[in-house]
Amino acid sequence: MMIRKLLALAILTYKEGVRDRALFGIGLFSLFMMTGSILVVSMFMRELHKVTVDINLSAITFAGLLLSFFVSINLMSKDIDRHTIYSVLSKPFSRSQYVWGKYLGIMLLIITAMGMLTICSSIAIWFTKFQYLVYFQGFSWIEFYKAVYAELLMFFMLNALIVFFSTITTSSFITLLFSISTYIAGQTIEEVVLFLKTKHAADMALSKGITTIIDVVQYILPNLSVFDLKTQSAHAITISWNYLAAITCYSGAYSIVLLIMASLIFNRRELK
Amino acid sequence: MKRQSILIVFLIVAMGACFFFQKNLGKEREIFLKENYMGYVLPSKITGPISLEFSGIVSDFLFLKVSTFLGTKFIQNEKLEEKHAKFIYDSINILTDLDPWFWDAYLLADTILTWDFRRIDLANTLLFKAREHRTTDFQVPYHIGFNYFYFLKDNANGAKYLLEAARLPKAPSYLSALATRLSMYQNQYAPAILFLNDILKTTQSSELKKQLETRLETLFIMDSLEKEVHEFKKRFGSFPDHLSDLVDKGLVESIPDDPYGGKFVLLENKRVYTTSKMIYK
Amino acid sequence: MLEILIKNISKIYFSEFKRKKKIAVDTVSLSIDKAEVFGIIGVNGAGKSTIIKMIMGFIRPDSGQIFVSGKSPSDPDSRRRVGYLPENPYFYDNLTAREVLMFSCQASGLDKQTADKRIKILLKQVGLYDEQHQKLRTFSKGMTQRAGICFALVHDPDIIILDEPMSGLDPLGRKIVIDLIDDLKKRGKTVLFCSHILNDVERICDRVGIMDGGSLEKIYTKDEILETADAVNNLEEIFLKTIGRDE
Repeated sequence: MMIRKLLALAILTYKEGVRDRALFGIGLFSLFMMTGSILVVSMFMRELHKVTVDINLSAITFAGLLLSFFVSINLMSKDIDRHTIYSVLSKPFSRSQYVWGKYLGIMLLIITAMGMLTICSSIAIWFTKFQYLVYFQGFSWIEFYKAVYAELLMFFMLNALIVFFSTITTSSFITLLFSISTYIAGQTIEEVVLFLKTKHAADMALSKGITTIIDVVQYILPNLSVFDLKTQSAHAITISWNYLAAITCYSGAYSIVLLIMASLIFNRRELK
Repeated sequence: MKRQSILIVFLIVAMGACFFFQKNLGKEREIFLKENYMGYVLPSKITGPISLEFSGIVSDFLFLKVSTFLGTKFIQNEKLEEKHAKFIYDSINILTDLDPWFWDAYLLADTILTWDFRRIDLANTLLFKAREHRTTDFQVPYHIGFNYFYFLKDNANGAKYLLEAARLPKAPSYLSALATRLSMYQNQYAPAILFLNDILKTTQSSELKKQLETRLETLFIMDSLEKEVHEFKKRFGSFPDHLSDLVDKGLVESIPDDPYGGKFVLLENKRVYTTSKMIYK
Repeated sequence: MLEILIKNISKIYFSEFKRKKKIAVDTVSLSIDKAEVFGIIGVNGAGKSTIIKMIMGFIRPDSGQIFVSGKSPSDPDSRRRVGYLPENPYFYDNLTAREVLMFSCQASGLDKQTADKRIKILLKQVGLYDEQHQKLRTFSKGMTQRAGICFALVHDPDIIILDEPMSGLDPLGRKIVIDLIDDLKKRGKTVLFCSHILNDVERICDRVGIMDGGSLEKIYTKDEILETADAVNNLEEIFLKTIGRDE
């Protein structure tokens, strides 16, 4: 019974999101990038598969980012701002079911969009490969799809973050700011930690306080760079199934933590 | 209605002015860019984090920047200056920090830095970096070996790396033979010709193809001239003093022109070379 | 069994870092029986909507207790048999009336066939049947209000809570709503609503509660209202007298 309710809310959210006009623009932009990839390739030298995969994976990722930052945030904050949330909470939904149902709807939307874009890029890549077969020797379809899957895992986490921030703040702008900042921090944290560790080893002796802060921050902030397998995929370097399993677990666990926290916070929230 | 047509007239005048000013700006901008040549590059410690998870396409973009830079110099027949060597090295170094497997970038750097700048040190530094990451690519030690042999006249290292290349998957079958007989080829252009032929086969950019073809053509000419020099020795017991001797004795009809605009000469060690050194003047 | 029971609830809002205090609801108690139609009237800001929101679980009372069919509003199950119409209903822009109504049915556990039937009946009743596949974005205020009424009733709830149900409706629309509430009453449903329009309240309510400044001043039954002399403006007079604003 609860699953049916959650599904109903998820599909409601999905339908509302999929008809958002922003989706059309994002889709157009991505298609533009993908056809661009077929043309741009002629400016390069030999390993054309690298460039094609680079551009297509980036297009898919970028579309997902635009979707998350603009459509997902809208779906969450508009609900509360415009009181459409009453349509849901006046039914037998608990606050927590609301959070999970919305998240499910958002992820359905993202999966659909990424799915369509993956199909389009597969066509673009296939076409480019067909045109320039001799320069496509080092290409692998499996590695390409593995990279797409990894990106999807990143979006699971990112949208859980977005749902979480939406429950804390009232303004969609603040949610956007927090989400983008966390995204940037999440992409760079690994590199920063690496840099500081090597600096520490080399010359600068960092104070104990700073190292503790870095260690703590490292675990709290989501490490989004682990999901970036684009360059490896572009060169058809084999990504181990173990690694994929590890990032799946990381993404799943972290997202669940965020959603539980979001449910707890939202439980306390008053809707005026 | 009258007000609207006045507005439209103004619009057309404004568009005309806009077009004119844009054209003018284009000319000024060209001069500006030439005078204020900005050969600086953002170190990878900055470009890396800035590109977030898009390091792949950023490296592609930076590569395009470098290759179009070289392309425009080539098309406009402008000479490359010393400072450009460092620029090319730094740019490729940075973008290969973003994508350490980017073979096209390493290749471009190697080609330009060796043939046009004779900075074998810089070229090899990059190639060694490639070797750390592209561990199963025979082309990397192949190029390293070639650089040692051809430019640094270091047969020992040349053979060592060519043999390493020969052992890697998809290496051409002649590599091991070439490696073991490297000392024999010390005084011939044959390995360079083989080498360039190989690169040409898999080069897609038409600009680079033209460059390589010109170089190959020159090497062919020098190689065949050298063969005639040895034929001269065989027939007349001693080496000729000048290339013109070959014409006098009827071995060749005429000394061909150097595609780079220099003159083919016979060196002291009886090898054929060109005054242009295979660089456009 | 009491459908809705409210015991001594209060709600205070603080603004400007706890310096200003506004008492939204001040120790209100009331109970509503099954098959009763209860109306709450009061000026703007009297606390009517706040009470309704507390019954629905959107806001928590600072003190006191609320029971809906014996359950607390924080239990989502308390809303299973409840239909709610908010003061200014907003719906998801890109969805159609039919999709939103289907959601209402599914969320309350109806199966598809029953849902289809109910949706058809209700849309016809409020006169939105032809527009059921149009996006809600295109609806006028009156149409949105009628869609909201459908949303509240489509799953055949036993308790119906309406916050200003007549707002934005033309006289025809108001008649439709009144007929609907009458029909609900005949079928033994419990109705709680608040309104400004005293005539309508007078006509259909079994009991009327008058609120002012957060307190529930008095509750009158239908008979008590009719007993007062002036037949035309009964409730209005009583209302003004109760809140002490008569001349």
